[in-house]
Amino acid sequence: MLEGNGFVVAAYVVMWVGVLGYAVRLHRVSRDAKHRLAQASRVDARRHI
Amino acid sequence: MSHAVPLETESPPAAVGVTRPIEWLGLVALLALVGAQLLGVLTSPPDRDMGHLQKIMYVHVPAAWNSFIAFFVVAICSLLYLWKGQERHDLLAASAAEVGTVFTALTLALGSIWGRPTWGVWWTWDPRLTSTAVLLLIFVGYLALRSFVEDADRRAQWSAAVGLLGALNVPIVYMSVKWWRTLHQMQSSPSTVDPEYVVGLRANGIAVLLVLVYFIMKRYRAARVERLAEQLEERAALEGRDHA
Repeated sequence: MLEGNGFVVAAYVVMWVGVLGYAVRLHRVSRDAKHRLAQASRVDARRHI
Repeated sequence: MSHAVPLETESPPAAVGVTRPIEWLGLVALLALVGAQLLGVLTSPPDRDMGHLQKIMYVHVPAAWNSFIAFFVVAICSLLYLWKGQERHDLLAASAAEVGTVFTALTLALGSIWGRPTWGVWWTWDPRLTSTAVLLLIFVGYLALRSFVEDADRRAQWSAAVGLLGALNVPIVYMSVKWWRTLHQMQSSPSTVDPEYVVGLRANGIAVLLVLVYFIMKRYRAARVERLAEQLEERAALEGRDHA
Protein backbone atom coordinates (compact mmCIF):
# COMPACT_ATOMS: atom_id res chain seq x y z
CA MET A 1 0.00 0.00 0.00
CA LEU A 2 1.31 3.41 -0.92
CA GLU A 3 1.54 6.00 1.83
CA GLY A 4 0.55 9.40 0.58
CA ASN A 5 -1.33 11.49 3.10
CA GLY A 6 0.78 14.51 2.16
CA PHE A 7 -0.35 14.19 -1.46
CA VAL A 8 -3.99 13.93 -0.37
CA VAL A 9 -3.69 17.09 1.73
CA ALA A 10 -1.90 18.85 -1.15
CA ALA A 11 -4.70 17.88 -3.58
CA TYR A 12 -7.43 19.29 -1.32
CA VAL A 13 -5.40 22.46 -0.70
CA VAL A 14 -4.96 22.94 -4.47
CA MET A 15 -8.70 22.39 -5.01
CA TRP A 16 -9.63 25.00 -2.42
CA VAL A 17 -7.00 27.49 -3.58
CA GLY A 18 -8.40 27.11 -7.11
CA VAL A 19 -12.06 27.46 -6.11
CA LEU A 20 -11.58 30.31 -3.63
CA GLY A 21 -9.01 32.04 -5.84
CA TYR A 22 -11.42 32.07 -8.77
CA ALA A 23 -14.28 33.22 -6.50
CA VAL A 24 -12.15 36.20 -5.42
CA ARG A 25 -11.28 36.96 -9.05
CA LEU A 26 -14.98 36.83 -9.97
CA HIS A 27 -15.79 39.23 -7.14
CA ARG A 28 -13.18 41.70 -8.46
CA VAL A 29 -14.34 41.33 -12.07
CA SER A 30 -17.97 42.02 -11.01
CA ARG A 31 -16.94 45.04 -8.93
CA ASP A 32 -14.78 46.49 -11.74
CA ALA A 33 -17.57 45.92 -14.29
CA LYS A 34 -20.06 47.81 -12.10
CA HIS A 35 -17.62 50.71 -11.64
CA ARG A 36 -16.98 50.82 -15.38
CA LEU A 37 -20.71 50.83 -16.12
CA ALA A 38 -21.37 53.55 -13.54
CA GLN A 39 -18.65 55.72 -15.03
CA ALA A 40 -19.85 55.14 -18.61
CA SER A 41 -23.44 55.91 -17.51
CA ARG A 42 -22.33 59.19 -15.91
CA VAL A 43 -20.50 60.24 -19.09
CA ASP A 44 -23.53 59.24 -21.17
CA ALA A 45 -25.93 61.14 -18.91
CA ARG A 46 -23.81 64.31 -19.09
CA ARG A 47 -23.84 64.12 -22.89
CA HIS A 48 -27.63 63.91 -23.02
CA ILE A 49 -28.50 66.67 -20.54
CA MET B 1 -24.83 42.58 -39.30
CA SER B 2 -24.93 43.80 -35.74
CA HIS B 3 -25.81 41.60 -32.80
CA ALA B 4 -25.49 44.34 -30.20
CA VAL B 5 -28.39 44.62 -27.79
CA PRO B 6 -29.94 48.09 -28.19
CA LEU B 7 -29.20 50.10 -25.09
CA GLU B 8 -32.75 51.37 -24.94
CA THR B 9 -34.07 47.87 -24.27
CA GLU B 10 -31.78 47.07 -21.37
CA SER B 11 -31.20 49.36 -18.44
CA PRO B 12 -28.18 48.76 -16.20
CA PRO B 13 -30.33 47.72 -13.20
CA ALA B 14 -31.87 44.92 -15.29
CA ALA B 15 -28.44 43.51 -16.04
CA VAL B 16 -27.12 44.05 -12.52
CA GLY B 17 -30.25 42.54 -10.89
CA VAL B 18 -30.91 39.06 -9.48
CA THR B 19 -27.89 39.43 -7.22
CA ARG B 20 -29.33 37.74 -4.18
CA PRO B 21 -30.36 34.34 -5.68
CA ILE B 22 -26.89 33.95 -7.18
CA GLU B 23 -25.20 34.74 -3.88
CA TRP B 24 -27.47 32.24 -2.13
CA LEU B 25 -26.50 29.63 -4.72
CA GLY B 26 -22.84 30.41 -3.99
CA LEU B 27 -23.36 29.82 -0.28
CA VAL B 28 -25.25 26.56 -0.91
CA ALA B 29 -22.49 25.41 -3.30
CA LEU B 30 -19.79 26.21 -0.75
CA LEU B 31 -21.58 24.30 2.02
CA ALA B 32 -22.28 21.39 -0.35
CA LEU B 33 -18.60 21.21 -1.31
CA VAL B 34 -17.47 21.18 2.33
CA GLY B 35 -20.10 18.55 3.21
CA ALA B 36 -19.34 16.32 0.22
CA GLN B 37 -15.60 16.41 0.84
CA LEU B 38 -16.06 15.57 4.51
CA LEU B 39 -18.38 12.72 3.52
CA GLY B 40 -15.86 11.36 1.02
CA VAL B 41 -12.80 11.72 3.22
CA LEU B 42 -14.33 10.50 6.48
CA THR B 43 -16.53 7.63 5.30
CA SER B 44 -14.56 5.86 2.56
CA PRO B 45 -12.08 3.15 3.56
CA PRO B 46 -8.49 3.16 2.21
CA ASP B 47 -8.15 1.52 -1.20
CA ARG B 48 -6.39 -1.88 -1.29
CA ASP B 49 -3.71 -0.65 -3.73
CA MET B 50 -3.61 3.11 -3.30
CA GLY B 51 -4.48 3.51 0.35
CA HIS B 52 -5.66 7.02 1.25
CA LEU B 53 -4.50 8.36 -2.13
CA GLN B 54 -7.87 7.15 -3.44
CA LYS B 55 -9.43 10.21 -1.75
CA ILE B 56 -7.89 12.45 -4.42
CA MET B 57 -10.54 10.94 -6.70
CA TYR B 58 -13.20 13.07 -4.93
CA VAL B 59 -11.61 16.29 -6.18
CA HIS B 60 -9.89 15.21 -9.42
CA VAL B 61 -12.80 13.37 -11.06
CA PRO B 62 -15.56 15.94 -10.28
CA ALA B 63 -13.29 18.73 -11.57
CA ALA B 64 -12.84 16.78 -14.83
CA TRP B 65 -16.58 15.97 -15.21
CA ASN B 66 -17.55 19.57 -14.63
CA SER B 67 -14.99 20.96 -17.05
CA PHE B 68 -16.66 18.73 -19.67
CA ILE B 69 -20.07 20.14 -18.71
CA ALA B 70 -18.73 23.70 -19.02
CA PHE B 71 -17.37 23.00 -22.51
CA PHE B 72 -20.68 21.37 -23.47
CA VAL B 73 -22.36 24.66 -22.52
CA VAL B 74 -19.75 26.48 -24.65
CA ALA B 75 -20.59 24.25 -27.64
CA ILE B 76 -24.37 24.70 -27.31
CA CYS B 77 -24.16 28.47 -26.79
CA SER B 78 -21.66 28.88 -29.64
CA LEU B 79 -24.00 26.99 -31.97
CA LEU B 80 -26.94 29.10 -30.81
CA TYR B 81 -24.95 32.28 -31.37
CA LEU B 82 -23.98 31.26 -34.91
CA TRP B 83 -27.62 30.32 -35.59
CA LYS B 84 -29.52 33.17 -33.94
CA GLY B 85 -26.88 35.86 -33.45
CA GLN B 86 -28.02 36.77 -29.95
CA GLU B 87 -25.42 38.38 -27.76
CA ARG B 88 -26.49 36.56 -24.60
CA HIS B 89 -25.40 33.24 -26.13
CA ASP B 90 -21.95 34.65 -26.85
CA LEU B 91 -21.59 36.00 -23.31
CA LEU B 92 -22.79 32.74 -21.76
CA ALA B 93 -20.36 30.74 -23.93
CA ALA B 94 -17.50 33.02 -22.87
CA SER B 95 -18.47 32.69 -19.20
CA ALA B 96 -18.65 28.88 -19.40
CA ALA B 97 -15.32 28.79 -21.29
CA GLU B 98 -13.54 30.76 -18.57
CA VAL B 99 -14.93 28.55 -15.79
CA GLY B 100 -14.23 25.38 -17.82
CA THR B 101 -10.62 26.51 -18.26
CA VAL B 102 -10.23 26.93 -14.49
CA PHE B 103 -11.63 23.43 -13.88
CA THR B 104 -9.43 21.90 -16.58
CA ALA B 105 -6.34 23.49 -15.03
CA LEU B 106 -7.45 22.10 -11.65
CA THR B 107 -8.01 18.66 -13.21
CA LEU B 108 -4.45 18.62 -14.56
CA ALA B 109 -2.92 19.91 -11.31
CA LEU B 110 -4.84 17.40 -9.17
CA GLY B 111 -4.07 14.57 -11.59
CA SER B 112 -0.40 15.46 -11.40
CA ILE B 113 -0.49 15.31 -7.58
CA TRP B 114 -2.21 11.92 -7.83
CA GLY B 115 0.19 10.69 -10.52
CA ARG B 116 3.41 11.36 -8.59
CA PRO B 117 2.90 8.75 -5.82
CA THR B 118 1.01 6.22 -8.01
CA TRP B 119 2.92 6.38 -11.31
CA GLY B 120 6.17 7.84 -9.97
CA VAL B 121 6.04 10.92 -12.24
CA TRP B 122 4.36 14.32 -12.09
CA TRP B 123 3.69 14.28 -15.83
CA THR B 124 3.86 11.86 -18.75
CA TRP B 125 2.86 12.24 -22.41
CA ASP B 126 -0.03 9.85 -21.96
CA PRO B 127 -2.98 10.26 -24.40
CA ARG B 128 -5.42 11.29 -21.64
CA LEU B 129 -3.04 13.83 -20.12
CA THR B 130 -1.90 15.16 -23.48
CA SER B 131 -5.42 15.57 -24.89
CA THR B 132 -6.49 17.34 -21.67
CA ALA B 133 -3.51 19.69 -21.95
CA VAL B 134 -4.50 20.40 -25.58
CA LEU B 135 -8.06 21.14 -24.41
CA LEU B 136 -6.69 23.59 -21.83
CA LEU B 137 -4.47 25.31 -24.41
CA ILE B 138 -7.37 25.67 -26.88
CA PHE B 139 -9.50 27.45 -24.28
CA VAL B 140 -6.61 29.62 -23.06
CA GLY B 141 -6.37 30.63 -26.73
CA TYR B 142 -10.15 31.24 -26.80
CA LEU B 143 -9.89 33.61 -23.82
CA ALA B 144 -6.85 35.35 -25.34
CA LEU B 145 -8.77 35.81 -28.61
CA ARG B 146 -11.63 37.48 -26.74
CA SER B 147 -9.27 39.89 -25.04
CA PHE B 148 -7.50 40.84 -28.30
CA VAL B 149 -10.49 41.47 -30.61
CA GLU B 150 -12.21 44.81 -29.94
CA ASP B 151 -15.10 44.57 -32.41
CA ALA B 152 -17.89 42.82 -30.49
CA ASP B 153 -19.52 41.09 -33.49
CA ARG B 154 -16.26 39.78 -34.87
CA ARG B 155 -15.14 38.70 -31.38
CA ALA B 156 -18.38 36.77 -30.88
CA GLN B 157 -18.24 35.06 -34.30
CA TRP B 158 -14.58 34.02 -34.02
CA SER B 159 -15.08 32.89 -30.42
CA ALA B 160 -18.07 30.77 -31.41
CA ALA B 161 -15.98 29.03 -34.09
CA VAL B 162 -13.04 28.41 -31.74
CA GLY B 163 -15.40 27.38 -28.92
CA LEU B 164 -17.06 24.77 -31.13
CA LEU B 165 -13.72 23.40 -32.35
CA GLY B 166 -12.39 23.30 -28.78
CA ALA B 167 -15.46 21.51 -27.46
CA LEU B 168 -15.02 18.85 -30.17
CA ASN B 169 -11.88 17.85 -28.27
CA VAL B 170 -13.94 16.83 -25.21
CA PRO B 171 -15.11 13.44 -26.62
CA ILE B 172 -11.50 12.75 -27.64
CA VAL B 173 -10.33 13.42 -24.07
CA TYR B 174 -13.12 11.24 -22.67
CA MET B 175 -12.54 8.32 -25.04
CA SER B 176 -8.72 8.54 -25.06
CA VAL B 177 -8.41 5.88 -22.34
CA LYS B 178 -10.37 3.45 -24.54
CA TRP B 179 -8.94 4.36 -27.94
CA TRP B 180 -5.24 4.25 -27.02
CA ARG B 181 -3.00 2.28 -24.69
CA THR B 182 -2.64 4.56 -21.74
CA LEU B 183 -1.20 4.73 -18.25
CA HIS B 184 -4.36 6.48 -17.06
CA GLN B 185 -7.04 4.24 -15.62
CA MET B 186 -10.46 3.86 -17.30
CA GLN B 187 -13.01 6.62 -16.73
CA SER B 188 -13.99 6.81 -13.06
CA SER B 189 -17.75 6.85 -12.70
CA PRO B 190 -20.27 5.41 -10.20
CA SER B 191 -20.48 2.33 -12.46
CA THR B 192 -16.72 1.68 -12.54
CA VAL B 193 -15.58 2.43 -8.98
CA ASP B 194 -15.96 0.25 -5.90
CA PRO B 195 -19.49 0.55 -4.39
CA GLU B 196 -17.96 1.94 -1.18
CA TYR B 197 -16.83 5.04 -3.05
CA VAL B 198 -19.98 5.70 -5.11
CA VAL B 199 -21.84 7.93 -2.62
CA GLY B 200 -18.78 10.12 -2.00
CA LEU B 201 -18.08 10.43 -5.72
CA ARG B 202 -21.70 11.33 -6.55
CA ALA B 203 -21.91 13.85 -3.69
CA ASN B 204 -18.69 15.56 -4.78
CA GLY B 205 -19.79 15.56 -8.41
CA ILE B 206 -23.04 17.33 -7.48
CA ALA B 207 -21.29 19.78 -5.14
CA VAL B 208 -18.75 20.77 -7.80
CA LEU B 209 -21.63 21.07 -10.29
CA LEU B 210 -23.29 23.62 -7.96
CA VAL B 211 -19.99 25.52 -7.78
CA LEU B 212 -19.74 25.41 -11.58
CA VAL B 213 -23.28 26.77 -12.06
CA TYR B 214 -22.63 29.53 -9.51
CA PHE B 215 -19.37 30.54 -11.20
CA ILE B 216 -20.92 30.58 -14.69
CA MET B 217 -23.94 32.62 -13.55
CA LYS B 218 -21.79 35.13 -11.71
CA ARG B 219 -19.36 35.48 -14.62
CA TYR B 220 -22.26 35.84 -17.07
CA ARG B 221 -23.79 38.62 -15.00
CA ALA B 222 -20.45 40.46 -14.89
CA ALA B 223 -20.03 39.92 -18.64
CA ARG B 224 -23.41 41.55 -19.34
CA VAL B 225 -22.48 44.55 -17.22
CA GLU B 226 -19.10 44.79 -19.00
CA ARG B 227 -20.86 44.64 -22.37
CA LEU B 228 -23.32 47.39 -21.41
CA ALA B 229 -20.43 49.60 -20.31
CA GLU B 230 -18.62 48.81 -23.56
CA GLN B 231 -21.70 49.82 -25.57
CA LEU B 232 -22.03 53.11 -23.70
CA GLU B 233 -18.32 53.83 -24.24
CA GLU B 234 -18.65 53.01 -27.95
CA ARG B 235 -21.67 55.32 -28.24
CA ALA B 236 -19.82 58.12 -26.45
CA ALA B 237 -16.81 57.67 -28.73
CA LEU B 238 -18.99 57.72 -31.86
CA GLU B 239 -20.88 60.83 -30.73
CA GLY B 240 -17.60 62.52 -29.83
CA ARG B 241 -16.28 61.77 -33.32
CA ASP B 242 -19.49 63.12 -34.93
CA HIS B 243 -19.25 66.37 -32.95
CA ALA B 244 -15.57 66.83 -33.78
